[in-house]
Amino acid sequence: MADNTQTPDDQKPAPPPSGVLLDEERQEEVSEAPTVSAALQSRATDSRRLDLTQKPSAAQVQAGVNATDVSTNQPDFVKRLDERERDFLTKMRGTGQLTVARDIADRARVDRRADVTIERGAAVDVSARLRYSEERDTADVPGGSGSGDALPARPQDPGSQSALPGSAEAWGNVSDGSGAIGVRRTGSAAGAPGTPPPEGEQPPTEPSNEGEEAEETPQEPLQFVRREAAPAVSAASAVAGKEVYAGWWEVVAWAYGFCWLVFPIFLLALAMDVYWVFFHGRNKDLFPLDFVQKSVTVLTNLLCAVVVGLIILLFAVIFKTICDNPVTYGATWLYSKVTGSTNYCSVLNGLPATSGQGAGTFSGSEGGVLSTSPEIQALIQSYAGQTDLCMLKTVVRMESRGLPNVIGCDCAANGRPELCLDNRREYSSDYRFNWDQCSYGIGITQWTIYPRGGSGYRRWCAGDTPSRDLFGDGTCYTVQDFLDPAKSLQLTVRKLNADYNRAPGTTPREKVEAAFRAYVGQSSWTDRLVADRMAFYDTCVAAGSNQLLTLNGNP
Amino acid sequence: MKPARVKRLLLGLGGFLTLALLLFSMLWANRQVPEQTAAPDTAAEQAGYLLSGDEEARIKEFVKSFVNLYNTFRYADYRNLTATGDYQTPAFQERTVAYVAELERTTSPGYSRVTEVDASTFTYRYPSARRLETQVRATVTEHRGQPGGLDVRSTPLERTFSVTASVTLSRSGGRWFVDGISFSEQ
Repeated sequence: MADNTQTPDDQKPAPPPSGVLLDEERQEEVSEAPTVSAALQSRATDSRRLDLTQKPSAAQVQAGVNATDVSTNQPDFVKRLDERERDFLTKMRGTGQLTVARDIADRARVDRRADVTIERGAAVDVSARLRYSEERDTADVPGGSGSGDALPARPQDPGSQSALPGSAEAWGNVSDGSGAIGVRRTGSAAGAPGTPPPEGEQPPTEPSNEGEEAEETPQEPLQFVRREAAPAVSAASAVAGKEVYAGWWEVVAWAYGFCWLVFPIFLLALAMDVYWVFFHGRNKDLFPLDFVQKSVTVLTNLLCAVVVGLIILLFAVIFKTICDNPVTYGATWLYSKVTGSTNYCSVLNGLPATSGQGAGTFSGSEGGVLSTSPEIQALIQSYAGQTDLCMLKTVVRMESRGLPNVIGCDCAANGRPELCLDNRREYSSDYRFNWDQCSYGIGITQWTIYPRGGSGYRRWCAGDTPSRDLFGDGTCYTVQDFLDPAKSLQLTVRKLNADYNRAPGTTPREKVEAAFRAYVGQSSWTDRLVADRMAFYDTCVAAGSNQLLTLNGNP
Repeated sequence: MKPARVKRLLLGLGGFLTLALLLFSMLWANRQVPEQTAAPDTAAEQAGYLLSGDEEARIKEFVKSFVNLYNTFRYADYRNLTATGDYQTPAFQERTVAYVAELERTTSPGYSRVTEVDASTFTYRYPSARRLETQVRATVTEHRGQPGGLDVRSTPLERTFSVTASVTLSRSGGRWFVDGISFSEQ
């Protein structure tokens, strides 16, 4: 039976406990390893903690731990270790994975917390162990000396073989039913065997605090905190995690060193992110990720952002070069024209991406304060093939600048603006008309409604409602009809086409001019108005957006 | 070579390349860009671009009709200027609106101006792919004063003079848009 008050110098390699068979190699390790004595002492310390029949150590006494009370519960606790767990722990001892064994032991105790009511002293000890188990991954607790400190020392690297010897007696205790289900490897494993630990490494405050808490609630059943991850998996993962850790750095190093190209960098960043989120996030032991690793991951992602920026810059330079060069730009234009696809040079300049539509305008409100709105452009474009789009566009732009709600008072145009009663150009429901004296141009193509009391084509066709029968076919149109841009355009196309077809001209341009002349009506300004419209029409055609009217098969 | 040493070497190399990339990025961002609008140095830049025959004819017709329209207006009727908004750059549209506002404020009743461009005087300079500077000569006929004005002796009712119109075109989306216009009386 280990004496937890022994110093490491007093420790001697203990033979394998009865009931536990060690192979020769293991036995040799147990007997010859330099850390055997330390491990044994560690084991002794654990045994003290777990072999509840032992006497309280000085530290325990100092910490207020009543070892006698603890010992009274030892047999019940030991009985709860089933054979399967013992066998497993024995095997684990053989592999030297002390941490594994300890974790399993912890789990065993945790799993049985509902069945076991441990007296105050044991509660202190075990809870300290469990707490340590929670903290061991992050806190660098100085190695315990086996001198009875209730807080177990930090175990050595799980993969270290030097931990092997310490397990011999420990597992002997387990197998012989002594109740030593936990194994703690003392700090001496990392230092010189047999060297007493410095006093400063002993954490006396924990037991004291625990003892004080225990005194406050002496009979309260021990409350354990279950670990988040399954201990067995976590412990095994921790061992394998070391290899993964090394492999992580190998991959990063090789990728950085020899695969330093754009694509591998992206792959590397992606792999790092996946590792962090999906692997490390699920099992921190198997897939460790310390601060340095995280820093490298973040920097790699930042590097990718920089690379992306450079790539975008590179493409922008290439793109600009292509779009600025007339030949290459023409190629993009031709390609978009032939394929009907987007011309990205146009997109780059905020212009309509498709060519051959409308009159080459800037699109929508982004085009400027004087541009035709996209809706009106679409309306005009909808007559492609039915009329000369430049002829229609000329009427729209010259009459109303494409604004569908414009109302013009002809009294003002005729030099008598005082008769108009209202100077507003935008239609509204309270627009003050002087229907007795003035005619008004209504809507996007400024269809005229003449004053009340007219005759012939000027006569109102809807009683006392301002209206007009445009084509003499009995269809009456009111102000509201003309304020509808779709309807106004439809009527305008009908009239323009009719005037175009019956025009005496021989060329399309002459027919267009005749259609304009018929549209503006007779006045002293007719020639000037027609000349202006032809100038606009020529501008439209020269801009390359005309689609010549094809009526009666004669363009 | 030991793996650990190789690993350190590769890590160092990776770090060096990363720093080199960052340094290159900084240098690239802060590089001195030559002034594109400065006087051309090379023969190619001096020569600029040339319009094809068809393109020149179209541009000539476009400039002619645009100048005719833009500089033809009468008192209280400036729709010719605004109607051509679809062929103006947004910036020039703003200037057009301001110009119309000025005309509405300063033009006296009865005033009218009619411009006729002589297309045969068309010249151009094509310094860059997106910029075309053209000039045409035009005859402007102004009708001043209100009909029946008080002093017809000191202010002739009609005046005809020649101007040189300088029109700057900007190319976008395969089309030309007017980006500026100025008239200088000869």
